[in-house]
Amino acid sequence: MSADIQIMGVVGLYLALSLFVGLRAGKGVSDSATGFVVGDRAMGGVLMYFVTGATIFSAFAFLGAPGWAWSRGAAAFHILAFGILGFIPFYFIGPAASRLGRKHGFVTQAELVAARLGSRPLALVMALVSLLAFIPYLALQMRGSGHVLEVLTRGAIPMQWGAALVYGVVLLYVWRSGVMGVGWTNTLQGLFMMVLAWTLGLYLPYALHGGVGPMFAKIAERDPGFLTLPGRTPDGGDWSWSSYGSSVFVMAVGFSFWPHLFQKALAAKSERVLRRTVVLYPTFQFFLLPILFIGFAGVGFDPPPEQADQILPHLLLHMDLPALVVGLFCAGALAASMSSGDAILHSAASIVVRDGWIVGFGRSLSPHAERRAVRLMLLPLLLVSYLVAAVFPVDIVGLLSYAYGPVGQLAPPVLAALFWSKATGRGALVGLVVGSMVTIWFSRFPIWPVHAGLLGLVANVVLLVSISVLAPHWGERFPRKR
Amino acid sequence: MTPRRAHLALGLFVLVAMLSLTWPLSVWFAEPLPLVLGLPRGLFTICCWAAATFVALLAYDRVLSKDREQEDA
Repeated sequence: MSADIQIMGVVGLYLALSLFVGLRAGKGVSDSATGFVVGDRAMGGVLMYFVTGATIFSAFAFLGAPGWAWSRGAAAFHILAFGILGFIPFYFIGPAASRLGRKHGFVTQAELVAARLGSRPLALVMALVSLLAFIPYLALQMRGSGHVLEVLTRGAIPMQWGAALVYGVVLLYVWRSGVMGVGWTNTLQGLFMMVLAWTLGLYLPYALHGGVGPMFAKIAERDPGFLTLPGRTPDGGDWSWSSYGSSVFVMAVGFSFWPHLFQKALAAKSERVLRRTVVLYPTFQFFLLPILFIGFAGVGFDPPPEQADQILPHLLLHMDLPALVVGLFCAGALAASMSSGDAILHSAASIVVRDGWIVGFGRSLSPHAERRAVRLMLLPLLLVSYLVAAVFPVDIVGLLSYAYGPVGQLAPPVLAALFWSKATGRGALVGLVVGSMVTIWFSRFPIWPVHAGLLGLVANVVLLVSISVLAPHWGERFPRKR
Repeated sequence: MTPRRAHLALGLFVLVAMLSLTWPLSVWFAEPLPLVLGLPRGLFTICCWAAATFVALLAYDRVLSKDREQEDA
């Protein structure tokens, strides 16, 4: 049997298993938007741990993080650093959001914030900002999955076909089972990724350098600056402390406010489940550690890959490993891509329908019709993301870092809606719009060596606070839900 | 420990951790050598912060859970 057929056999088995688990997960869930979007608010502890963990453990983890370790050295440590503190705000916002969700029937982040602050346009703008981050992020997941299949089958399956195959499976189980499909497949994918990450993360340094310690000793001896924080820039220069520190800060701030992650607070069975998930979350960082080992194992490997993101598949292809091992890696990378992509796709569809159509434009739909609308919305969103993936080349971690900029701008309005009674809808709206524009502008035209999201956050908070305090009744038109 | 002290302790922990993981305090572990348990010092320190954050959150959650149980009783 040829190697390509064996690889495709393993990948096929993995996809079939994901589909089976995803399709079965929807049994017993109500035929309503609450059932489809937040699983009738019945997610238990195990599901929450894997949903929150695997959602973050995306294509960037399996492809981007090793790429950064290989090309930028210690700069890759920031990928571990921001996740340690990033989920702590969820300990407070999660239970508060969960309580309000049960009381008022909220199923999305923007819906909750808009209702608390009495501003419908705020829901629309938050939905827009979410989509601004979601579409490239979903495209990135698709591109990652297609790319892995293309490289490991030596071009037999082109990127576009691979992405279509993998996301066809995602579409089927998200369509059938909604958030429960996302949850159970993420549990399967999370377990699979953990085993695979540690297996490859220990095996590759051992095979190429004699172990993890000898690998780092060899790199430090050859080029000590490579492992010195804050690491290197893409062109090999020294990354500045301000860029490193502000990236960790902005990504830590934005972490808990990703709308698809926040939405899981509304799906949890109880507040206790949410708190336990946050307490356990830092342990997930230990599954990212071996991913960095993989990238460092490739330092000095000859021939080098054409692009940094290709380092892992490149190593596997050039090390004469058994086709079964290559196939397992391929399935692991697809699991990483799918576990984030499915959650984003599902969340984006519910945001368009609930925040855009129902809250933003004030239209009403029956629970059954809303569920159908969310399902139908999966198709155009997937198509747009697919076109972005097929047309635009992207640097995986760079794009993720960009996406955190706009997402970080959601933090001030969410925190204000939950914990500051004097906050106004207009203050939150102006702060969010200006903060997002500042972020996008300075991402495109940087003037200081700091993450653009930090500048956006400063503008956002200043405007939110000053407008709320100085003009408390400006633009107040809708009643607030408390 | 009272919930108020637990809030303060967690706040202080997060502040120090954020400083250490971003800039000022982390300058001292920026150099990779000597390796600690086979890891560059920076990476080892970040792993220590992950473990310490888990323990800190566990302790904080225990204090608050006990307080909530007493309130419910």
